[in-house]
Amino acid sequence: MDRLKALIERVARSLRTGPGVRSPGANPNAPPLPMLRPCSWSVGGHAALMAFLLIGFATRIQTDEPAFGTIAIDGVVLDDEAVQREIQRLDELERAAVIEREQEVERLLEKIEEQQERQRQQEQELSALSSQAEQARQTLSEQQAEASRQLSAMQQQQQTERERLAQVERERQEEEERARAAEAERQAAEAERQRAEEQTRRLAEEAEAAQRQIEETERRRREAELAERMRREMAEERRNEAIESGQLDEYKARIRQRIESNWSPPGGIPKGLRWVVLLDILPGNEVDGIRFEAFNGTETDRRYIETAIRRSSPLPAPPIPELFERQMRLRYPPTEAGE
Amino acid sequence: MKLRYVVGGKVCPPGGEGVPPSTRTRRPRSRALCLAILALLPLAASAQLDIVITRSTQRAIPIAVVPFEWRVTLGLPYDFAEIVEADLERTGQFAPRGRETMITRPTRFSEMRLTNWRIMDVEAVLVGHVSGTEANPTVEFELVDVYAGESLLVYRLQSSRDAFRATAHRIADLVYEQLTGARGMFSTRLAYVQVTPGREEFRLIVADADGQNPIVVLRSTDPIMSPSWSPDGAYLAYVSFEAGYAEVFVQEVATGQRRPLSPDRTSASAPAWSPDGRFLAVARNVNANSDIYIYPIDGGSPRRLTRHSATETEPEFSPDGERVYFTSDRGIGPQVYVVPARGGQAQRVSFTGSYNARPRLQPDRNQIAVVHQQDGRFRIGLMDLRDESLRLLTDGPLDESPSFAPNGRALIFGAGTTAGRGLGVYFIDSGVMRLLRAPEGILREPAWGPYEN
Repeated sequence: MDRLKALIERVARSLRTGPGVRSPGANPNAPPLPMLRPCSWSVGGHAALMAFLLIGFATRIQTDEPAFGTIAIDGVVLDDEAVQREIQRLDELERAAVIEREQEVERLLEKIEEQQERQRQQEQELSALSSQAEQARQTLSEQQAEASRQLSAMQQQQQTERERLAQVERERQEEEERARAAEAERQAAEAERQRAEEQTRRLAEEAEAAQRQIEETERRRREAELAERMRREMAEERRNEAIESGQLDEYKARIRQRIESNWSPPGGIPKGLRWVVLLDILPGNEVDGIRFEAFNGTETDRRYIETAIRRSSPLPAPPIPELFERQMRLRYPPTEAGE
Repeated sequence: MKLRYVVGGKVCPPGGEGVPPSTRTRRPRSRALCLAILALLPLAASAQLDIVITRSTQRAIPIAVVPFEWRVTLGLPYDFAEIVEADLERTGQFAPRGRETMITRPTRFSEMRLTNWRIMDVEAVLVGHVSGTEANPTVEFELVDVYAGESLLVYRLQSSRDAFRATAHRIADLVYEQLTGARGMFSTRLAYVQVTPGREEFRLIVADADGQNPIVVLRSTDPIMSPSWSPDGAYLAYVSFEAGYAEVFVQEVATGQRRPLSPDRTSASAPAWSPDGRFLAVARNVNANSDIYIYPIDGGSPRRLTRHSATETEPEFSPDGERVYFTSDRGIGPQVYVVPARGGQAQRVSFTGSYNARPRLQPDRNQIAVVHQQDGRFRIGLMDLRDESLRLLTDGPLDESPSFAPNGRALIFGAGTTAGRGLGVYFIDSGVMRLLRAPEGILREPAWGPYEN
């Protein structure tokens, strides 16, 4: 029985180690490589088959043991010898069977180990291949990283170059700007200077002109005064001549006749009507304003007087301009004229 | 101090008052005077011309009556303006400018360019338009003073199809009143007697003041005389010889109903209404002697006003009803006398010439129209009661029966001119006379009716 147990433990151990095979050199924490998985499944399958056979056998062995007990109870009636023989024979038989089975197990174990050995070899090959691939990948990765580093370095270098150029351009432009500003300032200053000069010159001219004008005005004023005085004196002379020669009376008679010919109240002049009108006369002898200074008639009477005056406008021109007056007084009736 | 020029052409500078210029200029002092005037030049500049107006000119006022725009959708246009223009022109106080001279025909003041009308020398312009329905049109018009540049009158009248002429006369009244200050008389009526040729028929006729629309209110084969309007214009008193003698009748104009004034059917003539319309003064002939009697219009007893053997006739109440003027030949020939309406002593009024008869008082003025006869010519004269002067208005030779328009500005009379007989209308303000003639017969004894509105 101890051998059997030892066998079972062996099988169990091999089974435990079967699926747990890992590639040598791999990270213990990394998962098993996918390419190795079918192999471990086939190993597992064998192991399971083996375990099933072993367990079934062991179970049957266990159930046989109570049967022996029963036989032992029934064997009371048998003689010891026969029993001893029988036991011996059975032991013989059993032993032969066990041996055979052990041999069988031994063969199976050998096959399994053989299989495991092949598997290990394959795994080792795989591991070696994997290791090579990893090596290649690392190499590639390192190359890429190196290339990337080199690119970055180049870009960095270009950027730096561009910034340097921009800085140079800026400085150039600033320099130009400063130059332009300086030029503008200079021109403005020049213009200002010219303007100031012009202003000064003009002011001087104006002052001179003003002075001349003042003198001229004064001279003209004196001349005009003199002329006006002379004109007035001559005008008055002419005026008085006109008065004394009767021209004024003729002039007034013409105005009177003009007004009288235009004054036509439809019912004739109402008895007792009395009026005095002050007229404003424009230089063209046109009547501008009509103001009643006295009046005792009706609205109709007033209207016909106003109509007569407006119809008479412009009034006859004076024979000489000196007889023109800005105002004129008309009155009716004549009896009140000599007040 | 200023120069003053007074009428008569005298120059009156300061200190030289009343000295004729011709004498002054010869004096040595005048030179000094002139220098003194020169020294006062600034003051002299404020001098004025003083002009004395001595008279006015009688002339017709130039006006324009623009045809009224007809805005009535249906019906034939009625020419209101034509009648207004004819009324105004007839007075002789207005000279309407012909339509053909009008550059534009405005319908209201706001549309007018006054300078155009001044160029036409027009003083006043009447414009208007007619709107509404033909049966009851509205006439709107405006009278414009061209020289003052203002509207004198803005008016709207409602008319009706059978009153177009009356509306036009009413417009003429309003324009006349605005332009002359006197109320218009174009809407009044006339009464007169028409005698057919051969004297087969006498007609009492009522017509418009312009002689249009004559209506016969009485026909008779016997003479009709002396029609007289009641103050309200509703009645006519007149003399009819239908009973074989002169008898006064009172007739309602609108209905034609008439009755004799006196129940006792006495002979009477020359009826005249008192201003209150309650009495008629008549010349009653008793025993071949004519005297003035006052009859109550409602049929009471008559009161004798004059008592004289001479013939007293043609009574006329004063406008206040206090006095009665009449014709009497108690002196030499017929003259005008006046007696208090309540009775009293009669006084002679007319003194010019030997024949002044049939007095008619001019309303509001102290003047009497009379028939004046001189050298066989009967003429209408206007007598001034204040100074008793007489102004002869017509030439005759057979003028009779003057009667004043209610505004006193015109009188109508039976005109017996050498050119023919008719009704003469004399316009006092213009001195213009117009003659109304009938197609046949003689028109005589006109009476101008009162204001009717």
